[in-house]
Amino acid sequence: MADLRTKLAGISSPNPFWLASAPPTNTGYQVQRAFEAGWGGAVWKTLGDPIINTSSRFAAVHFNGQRVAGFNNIELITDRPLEVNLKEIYETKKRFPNHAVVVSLMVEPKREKWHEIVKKVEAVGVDGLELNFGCPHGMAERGMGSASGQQPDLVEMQTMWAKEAAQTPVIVKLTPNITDITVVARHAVMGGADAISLINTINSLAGVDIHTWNTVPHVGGKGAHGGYCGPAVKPIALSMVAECAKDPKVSVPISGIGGISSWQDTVEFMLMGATNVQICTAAMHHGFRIVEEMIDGLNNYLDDKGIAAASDLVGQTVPKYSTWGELDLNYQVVARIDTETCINCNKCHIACEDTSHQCIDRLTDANGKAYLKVREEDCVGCNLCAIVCPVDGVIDMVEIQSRHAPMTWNDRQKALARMNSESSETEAV
Amino acid sequence: MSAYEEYVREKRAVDALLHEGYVIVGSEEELEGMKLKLRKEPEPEETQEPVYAQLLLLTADARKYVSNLIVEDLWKRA
Repeated sequence: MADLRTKLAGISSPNPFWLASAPPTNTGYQVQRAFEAGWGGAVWKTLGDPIINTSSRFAAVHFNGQRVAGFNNIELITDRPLEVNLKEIYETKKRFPNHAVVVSLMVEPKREKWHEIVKKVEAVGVDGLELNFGCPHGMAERGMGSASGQQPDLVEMQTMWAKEAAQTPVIVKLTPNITDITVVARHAVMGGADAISLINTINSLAGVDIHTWNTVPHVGGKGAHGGYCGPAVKPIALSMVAECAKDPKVSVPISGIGGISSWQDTVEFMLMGATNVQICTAAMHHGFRIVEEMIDGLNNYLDDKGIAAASDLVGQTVPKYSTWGELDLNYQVVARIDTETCINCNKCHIACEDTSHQCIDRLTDANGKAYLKVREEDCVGCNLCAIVCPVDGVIDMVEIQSRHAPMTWNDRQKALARMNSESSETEAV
Repeated sequence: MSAYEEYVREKRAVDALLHEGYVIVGSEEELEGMKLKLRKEPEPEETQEPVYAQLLLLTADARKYVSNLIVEDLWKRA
């Protein structure tokens, strides 16, 4: 049995699976049920001045038979009084002392407001705080959530205010609704953040009903943008986690969030620099007991790999994540089709012929049997044929040994610049 | 003509000049592709000026091939 324990900026947890601040962590009843099911931690649904929610709050995007490929919500922060939440947080922590209880906070960008709520929440014995600078809907219209999170100076200042009063670790939750998330991450660090968590939800409109012409969801015929999460956002979240993980100026632990639905997703986020993960949509779709499979899967994976602790995964892939200019232009793969297992559906041929590099030929053998063959010299190794092939293992992308040493675009540009500067003939070219 | 055949045609043109004793002395990249300038020094006993040749490389693979030659040459001289 591998050691699944994690420690995020000093916050210990029996495993890396935390419930994200969201509807699943609205009450003590829910969080305690989650801990009973096996979740290692929970970030309590955001506390602040209690709001009033609308009815009709969630919507999902189903894609080609997969339910909830994406999830959209227009629910706001807690609608329950602070004292009610604090009482339940206290009871939960008392009952589960070894689980991580972190509380999400959102107040107006005023120093005294941050001091007040930090002190009240810490007084009931939480393990840490998460500052919600990410929610893109509703609260942002009131100057909070992502409206704060899109202004690096406001993130820095509010983090500093929270830190002035805080005794426990402060995690800053970042919005993806910004051009470069590392800029805000750096300012959170400058403000004293002990960790960052990302991503919060992405601005979204789940759909429009083509019969009623209402938005999805709609509230009595009117709609507003919501926050998008679920499996569809995972690649965006993973990229943003990676950007922060490789930035030396963002030198704090990362809690990964965004479309994580399985132990495999968890491994990916940890390899890319996340110390732990936070999950919401998968729990909303399948219930709290989904964590059992995640724990077993992660444990088996670590045992199979001979890795003693989950924490040993953290950041292992970060050095492999670079910039385009540092990729080897001489690395080459080509597609190879296994004609024995190919079902001749022609999807690869059509994809290549119509939208890629026209290098898969439809041929007929001596017996009149049709087959597909890649002209390897024309194949650029784009992977499209392997992506669209409906049968696993039929198309392999095979590495072709280059006759040249690795050469990146940056190497090339430097070499050309040097040659041109050394040559008195450059102007004559 | 396949992309590979276009590349081979351009590569042969480069290789032919190099075989004749030309060396790559300059490059310029523009919308049309990569302009490559090559120079051939006269024999020691000859008195004439160096001879120049110019190629316009259109294909990505030919531009990559030439880039490899330039990078490798710099490494050799380093």
